[in-house]
Order: sequence, then structure tokens, then C-alpha cells
Amino acid sequence: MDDRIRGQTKTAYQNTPRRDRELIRRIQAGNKELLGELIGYYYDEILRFCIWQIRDTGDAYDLTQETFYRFIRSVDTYEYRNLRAYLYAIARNLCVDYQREEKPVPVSGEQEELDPAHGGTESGYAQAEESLFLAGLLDALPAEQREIILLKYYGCLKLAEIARILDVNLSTVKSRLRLGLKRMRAVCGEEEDRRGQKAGQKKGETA
Amino acid sequence: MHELTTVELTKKFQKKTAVQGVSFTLTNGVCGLLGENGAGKTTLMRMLCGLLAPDGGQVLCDGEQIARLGGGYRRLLGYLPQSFGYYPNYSALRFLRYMAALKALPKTYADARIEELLALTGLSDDRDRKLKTFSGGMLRRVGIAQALLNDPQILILDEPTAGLDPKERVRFRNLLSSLGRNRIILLSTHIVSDLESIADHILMMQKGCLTASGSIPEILSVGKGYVWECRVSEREAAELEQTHVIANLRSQGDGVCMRIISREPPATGAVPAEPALEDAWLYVLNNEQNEEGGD
Amino acid sequence: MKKTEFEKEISRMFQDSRVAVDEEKKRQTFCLLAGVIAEQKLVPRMSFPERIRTQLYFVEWRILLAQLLCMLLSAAVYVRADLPWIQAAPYLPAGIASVLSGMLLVLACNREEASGIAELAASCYFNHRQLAALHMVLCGGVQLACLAVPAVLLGKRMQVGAAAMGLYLTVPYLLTGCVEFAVLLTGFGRKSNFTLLAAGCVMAVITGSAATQPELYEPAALGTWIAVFAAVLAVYAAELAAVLERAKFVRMQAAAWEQN
Repeated sequence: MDDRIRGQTKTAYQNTPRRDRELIRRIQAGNKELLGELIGYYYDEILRFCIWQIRDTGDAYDLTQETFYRFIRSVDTYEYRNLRAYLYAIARNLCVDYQREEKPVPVSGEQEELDPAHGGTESGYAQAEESLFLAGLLDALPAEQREIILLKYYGCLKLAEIARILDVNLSTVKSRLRLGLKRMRAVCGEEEDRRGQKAGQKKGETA
Repeated sequence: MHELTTVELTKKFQKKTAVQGVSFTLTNGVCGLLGENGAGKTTLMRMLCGLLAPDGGQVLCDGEQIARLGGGYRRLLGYLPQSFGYYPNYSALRFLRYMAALKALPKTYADARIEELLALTGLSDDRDRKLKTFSGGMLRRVGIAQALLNDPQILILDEPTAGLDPKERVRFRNLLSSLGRNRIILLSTHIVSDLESIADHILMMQKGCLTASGSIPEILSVGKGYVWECRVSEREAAELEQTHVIANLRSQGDGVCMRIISREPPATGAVPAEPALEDAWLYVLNNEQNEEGGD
Repeated sequence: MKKTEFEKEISRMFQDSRVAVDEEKKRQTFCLLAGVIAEQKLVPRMSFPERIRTQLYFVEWRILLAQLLCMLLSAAVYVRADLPWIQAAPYLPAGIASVLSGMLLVLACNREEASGIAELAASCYFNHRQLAALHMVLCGGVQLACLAVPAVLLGKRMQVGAAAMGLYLTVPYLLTGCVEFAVLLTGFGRKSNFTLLAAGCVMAVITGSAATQPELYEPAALGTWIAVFAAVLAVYAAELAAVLERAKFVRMQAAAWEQN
């Protein structure tokens, strides 16, 4: 199992339905050990989705584990259609249940948790900053817009698939997406203004 | 471990309502569905199998509608219909292989399962005989064998013991007990004694509605204080038969021993008795009829 | 920033961000899940091509035999060119062959209903509709091959083009199919194949007598043939859809209501 853990960081974002279909076929034909391989492909991606969505890193690990647990238990009845969307659906539902328990959303300060090991390099630093920036944008959104933003831009799922996952119609997805983007841009604008001011101040100081 | 839930399930045929607003949840264990002919048991079971689309309400498996799960749900299912159709010219073995093909079971797995099930149902020696030569009891056993082919997590049996002689019925009961408690088993019958020793849960249906639901002790408590035993003369017995619900009667020497379902003592010298499932069933049946009569 | 640029930017940020993963927690999860996988009971299922193959194994061989017999007889008739009645009504054997084929197709698909196994079959993995469709395709394929033989032989002898020959043979085939489906839809043919056979015979007689009219096969009449073909095809398709759709429910509803 360990080698699988190490090898799978890059493939997470590649959409490989053919590989999925083949794996599911073989698993359902009786080779259930292949489930481990499948989970190896998707673990990181689902984990990060949960972290983005519920904004609590610790609990995100639990939710991810539960997602794959449920997947294993239901693989016998699963009819292959779109495996990624299916996994996201399970994860998303778990996130919804989790958030319904009204855990407080972590305040900006705790966002440091999001990317502890960005390395000392400049690109690493920039990446970390971007992650924090994104986190800030997502924080400003209500959960139902956030999940659509994540499913579309992080999960790269089509709107029709998202509609099916959320069990709402396409127009609802589109309107929530639009509102979410609008809100994010507004926050973006504020942030830029704020940074502009800061930069102005700094300039003022150094001058 | 799965959970099968129905929510306000309703089915109408032209003018008649076969099933009305039935809601219950099934988990692992044996559940007996009691009802007279025409109560809607078969229709209910067909809806549970996804064969009939309900007019109202839903059937959910682990929270998902079975219509959405489609073939995936049917993989969990083992069904024995009341009128069990078969190909008369097929041998038992060929028929089971055919059913295995319909259930999309791979050949090696299917062959192993078929061997096991033929042994379990005592049909190993008859495997090559044509189905048209089988007795009713043997056919029913073939039916159960096919229902178990895919090791179903949800087993639905519609009147599996109807028309079987007592020996076959005992055999069936033993088979059922041997299946263990790790799956949902729903069996319908109008013969109460089938369920007495094996059911964990009882559902009672009348005219399409669920009239009682609970474990056997709970159901029995419905009939508490309404079961009486008394010993009367034959003449009194004839009178009592007209006016009361008789659970059992037995001629004994110079009189008749009667077991009666009644709110008040039906005759002098009647003693209360411990209710059995049959009594509770008669009580519930009678209650419904009385209520209707009152309206 | 324009909206799409903004979206692209967001998308890029998501794809580039690398939220770190705690390897220890991941390893623990994997260990736990490995246990779940080991315990999980999985009933194996066949792949799609395997399913098709096994269904082939169970195809009703009597139907196939009847089909082959049909083909051989009609082919044999055409090989023996000298019989006088063939001169008079050359399309007769081929016409009858196609009628019988149309009937055989429906018989093959009705097998589950006729034997009462439909209810059981519908509760298994296969969708009943898929199964019926599969049988039709298999049967139809065989029939196509079988009908081609007399068609070719007849075409050579009558100096008629392939298209016209195709018309002359498919119309009786489809027409019979329409009649047979109608029998199924009204419920008569369900339990017993007898009605279907009877309908088939009636159609054979009709087609037979029509085949004795040489005017029907004049090139001038081709226009009518094409029109009839289009109409019959439409009806066939509609009835087929109805049969596949209703096959699952109507019989059971009716039966359930009676037995209930």
C-alpha cells in the first residue's frame, strides 16, 4: 500500500474514465483488492475537496475516510457511470451532514493550517499565498455556492453532473454558480483595494 | 447490512386500491407479512422488487430510490414469486444456469453456487430431470434455489409455503433458519404457523393497509386479555360459533374445548389464556371487520 | 477582470494549489480501509460481452431450427427451377418464408411471457427490456442471414434488383410482425403461443394468395411498395416500443389485480 501512497500525487487531477471503467469492471468481476488501487488514485483529490469545503483539516480526514468506506460498501450495487462524480457525491453529502451540525467556520487566522509545508522556495511561497487567498475567497461564500465552485473548478465536473450530484436542476446550479462567482469577484476587488492601500502605505513609509 | 424502507407506498388498479399508504423499514432478520388473500401482499412485494411502479410513495434501499439504483438494486435481490414460472423442458440444472445467466453471475461462481444450493434444497439427485416431472414441493425448492443464487442481501418470498405438504413446510422452515440473520428476509403468507418460530418481525396487512407492525412479543401484547379457553357442551359450542371468533376447537369426551377471541369472557368458566400469534392475528382481523361494520 | 478570465484564474489557482497531505493519517486510513475491503462480500458479475455470450447459449433452439428449415425449404424450392407452379407464383415461397420469420421473431421474444417466467426474469439483474431487445437483435440477425439466401436465389432468377427484392421480402416480414405485436399488445398472445401461431398462419395464407398476383411485382408497382414499406416500418417501430415498454408492467398489473 505504501508505494501506492507515494506515487499518486500527480494523477489526481487527470480524468481517466477508461481506467476507472476497467478497474470497476475488474473489481465487480471479483478482484476486490483493486479497490485499494482505486482509492489510491482518488484519495488526495477527495481529501482536498473536503478540506476546501468544510475548512477544518482534521475532520476532513475523517470525512474522506468515511467517503471511501461508503464507496467500498456500495461497490457491489454501483453501476458504472462516472466514478469521480460518484465519489464527489458521497463526499459532498458527508460535508453537508457535517456542516449541518453547525460547527463554527474557522476564522482567517486558522487558515495557516491549510498549507503547512509549502517549502522555502519562492514558488512554494507563492503557492501558499495563493492557497490562502483562495481560502479567503471561499470563506466569503455560503456553503451551497462554495460546493458548486469547488465541484466545478477543483473537481472539473460538468454542470450537468453537478446538478445530478446535488439533485437540483441545472438552472439552480447555474444561478448559484453565478452568484458565487460574483461574490468572489467582489471579495477579490476588496482584497485588491486593501492590498493597494497597504502597498501605498508601505511606499509611503519607505519613501 | 442494508435497510429497505417504504414511504407511503400506494398502488391502484383501475377502481381498486391494492396498496394504500404502507410505510415500514426492514433490516436484517426474518420479517413475516401476514394477510389474507387479496390483502395486497403480492402487489406490495412486486413494488419492493421494482416490478411495479408505485402510484404514490417510494421504496428506498439505504436511502436511495430503487428506481434510481436500477440493476444495482436487483443484484441484491432474490425473489420467489407466488406463481413461479419455469421452462418445463429444462432440467433443474439447466434452469438454474439460465437464472444465473439472467443474474449476470460468472460461470465458475454460478456453478459452485448451484452445487451448494442443490445440496441445500435436497435436489442434488434430481438435477438432470426435467422440471415438468417435478412435484409442487420440488418446484418450490427449485424456486428457492434460484432466489438464492446471487447470495442476496434482500430475499423476498411470496407465499413460499402455499400448497406444500407439512413435511415440505418443515423443510422450508429449517432452510430459512439456516440462512442466518445476516440478510433481510421478507416472506408473505396467510398461514400463521409458518412464522411463529422464525420471524423476528411481523407485518399485518388488510385490504391494502398495514394494520400492525412489530416484533412477535409486541404483536402478542395486542391480544392480551382477549384470549379465553373454556369447556362447553356441544350445543353451547354451536351457539358460540355463531357469535364469537373461534381460534380453535376440539372435541373432548363429553364436551368441546374452545379457544375464543373476545373482549369479555364468552361463557361461564372461561379462563384467560396466553395468546399465540394466531390469536393476535385473528384479533386484529376481527377488529378491523368490526370497525367497518360499525361505520 | 472579465468573467471568463476570472474563472480561468480561479481554475488555475485550484489546479496549482497543493494542499499538503498528512501521510501518516493517510496511511492509517488505508490500513483501516484495507480491513473493510477484506471483509466486504462481493458477488462477482459478468462483463457485458460475457453476458451476451451466455444469453446466446440459451436462445430457443427450436425457433432457430424452424428458421433454418424455412430457409432451406425456400432455397431448395428455388434451386429446383422447373416446377410449374413456381413459374406461376415465384414469390410465393419467399413470401411465406418471410412471414414465418416475422412470426418466429415474436415467438422468440415472447418466450418469457408465455412460460410465465417473465415476472421472475424481471427481478433479476437484466432489465427485461434489455433482454427482449437482445433476443430480437440476435434473432433478427440470424433471420437476416436466412432470408438473404432465398432472396439471392430468387433475385437471380427473376432478374430483379437487390433493392426491389429487399422490399418484396421485408414488407411481409414487417407486416406479420405488426400483426403479431398487435396480438401481444391486446393480451391474447401472452400466455399461449397458440394465438401467435394462428395469426402467423393467417398472414401466410394472405401473403401466399397475394404472391400469386404477378401484377404486384411489376416495376410500376414499386412506388406503392415503397409507400407501404414506410408505413409498415413506422407501425412496427411504434408497436415494438410499446411491447418493450409495456411488457414489463401490463401483464403483471392485470395478473396482480386478478389474483390480488
